[in-house]
Amino acid sequence: MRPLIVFAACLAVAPFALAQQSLFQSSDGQSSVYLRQSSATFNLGDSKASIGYVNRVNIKKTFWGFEGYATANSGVTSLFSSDKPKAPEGGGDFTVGRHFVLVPMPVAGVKAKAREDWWLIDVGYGHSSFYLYPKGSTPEANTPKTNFDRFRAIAAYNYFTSGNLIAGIAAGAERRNNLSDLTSVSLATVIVPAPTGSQTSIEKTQAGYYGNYKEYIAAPIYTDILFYPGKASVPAFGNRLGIDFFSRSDVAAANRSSSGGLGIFMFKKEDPLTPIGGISASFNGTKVQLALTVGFAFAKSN
Amino acid sequence: MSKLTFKCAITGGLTPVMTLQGQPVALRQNGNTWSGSLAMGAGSTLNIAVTVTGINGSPWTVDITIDCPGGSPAKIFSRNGTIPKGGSDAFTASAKVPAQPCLNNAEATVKAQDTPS
Repeated sequence: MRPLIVFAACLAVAPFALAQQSLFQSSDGQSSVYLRQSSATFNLGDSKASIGYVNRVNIKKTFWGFEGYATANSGVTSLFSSDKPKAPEGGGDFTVGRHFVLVPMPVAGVKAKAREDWWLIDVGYGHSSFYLYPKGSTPEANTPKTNFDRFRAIAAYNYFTSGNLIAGIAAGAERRNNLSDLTSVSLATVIVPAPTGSQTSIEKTQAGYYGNYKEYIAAPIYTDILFYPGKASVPAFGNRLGIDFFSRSDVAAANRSSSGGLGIFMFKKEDPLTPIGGISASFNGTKVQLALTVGFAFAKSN
Repeated sequence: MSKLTFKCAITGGLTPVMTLQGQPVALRQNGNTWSGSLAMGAGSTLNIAVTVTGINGSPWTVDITIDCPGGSPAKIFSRNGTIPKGGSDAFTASAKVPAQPCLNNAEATVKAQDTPS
């Protein structure tokens, strides 16, 4: 029920907001493919809803955009794996980039080999706050919330060719925490103790995270290869399908990790560049994680 | 030669390019539609050149109109197609520009108003 409410809220704000940078998200909500569609999305795997806007004029190589996002806590994701705890977070990204970097802009009226490329810089900030109960210390009811400020700067390059392939690579730096490695717990404080002869008491609970908390600088590297197999489409509906082969790595020494996976995405009818949803599976060597992404693409009304 | 404002719209594809009489048209992306306008003295013939790129098998449309005061836009040119294997399609074409492009629309509006209900 809760994801539906969040998604409904996402749709409700759609007419006022504008676009999202990329729907090709794995379960961690990341991608290296930045498409140009206006959309709002909800990633069930990452419990992330986002809306944004991209400003793009065909004869101007430079473009820019922004995105606002909010993540729910881990309760939303129980259906699609991700039993990792996550604190609610809100934030935004600003993107600036250029099209036709290494390949020339086509000449009007001249049929040539289809190629297009674009690079961009994606700078983002997110804020979250949560209760932390470190290992080895006595938990207290009046523990103040811990605040975390996430900063990130990612550079990405995308290349479209042959009418059926979009490849992307993104690399940068991001300030992260290890909250997803901690244990989600509830601190219970007895308000009214159980009377003699009764086992019923009144308790106040406070959700938080237990473990050795740390913050670190990650160096993420993401790659995606989005392939459109022939004219493959959803039977009876006709929506085109795309297959996304992806990898997600962190090459910083502090928390080195790597995972790879496969996603199948469905596109708007007659517009195979506007994804409306997808499912992806990633494997990090020990565990398979599934994610369902749904999107709502819309155009700004002038 | 009087100046006319041609409104252009292209749907589908990645970044389309378009020229009218050799002048590039700035098209702003709005979802799946790229639209813009160009004011120019066109004479009686409008030379159009378009290239679209995109995913194989996806449809594209090109529409050029002129806004008419108090009426629906006058259609100057319209073409659609499907992006072939390879991911690119292009064409050049010429369209006749009526001396008074909104005249037919005005007549149609009058006729519609005259039609008894």
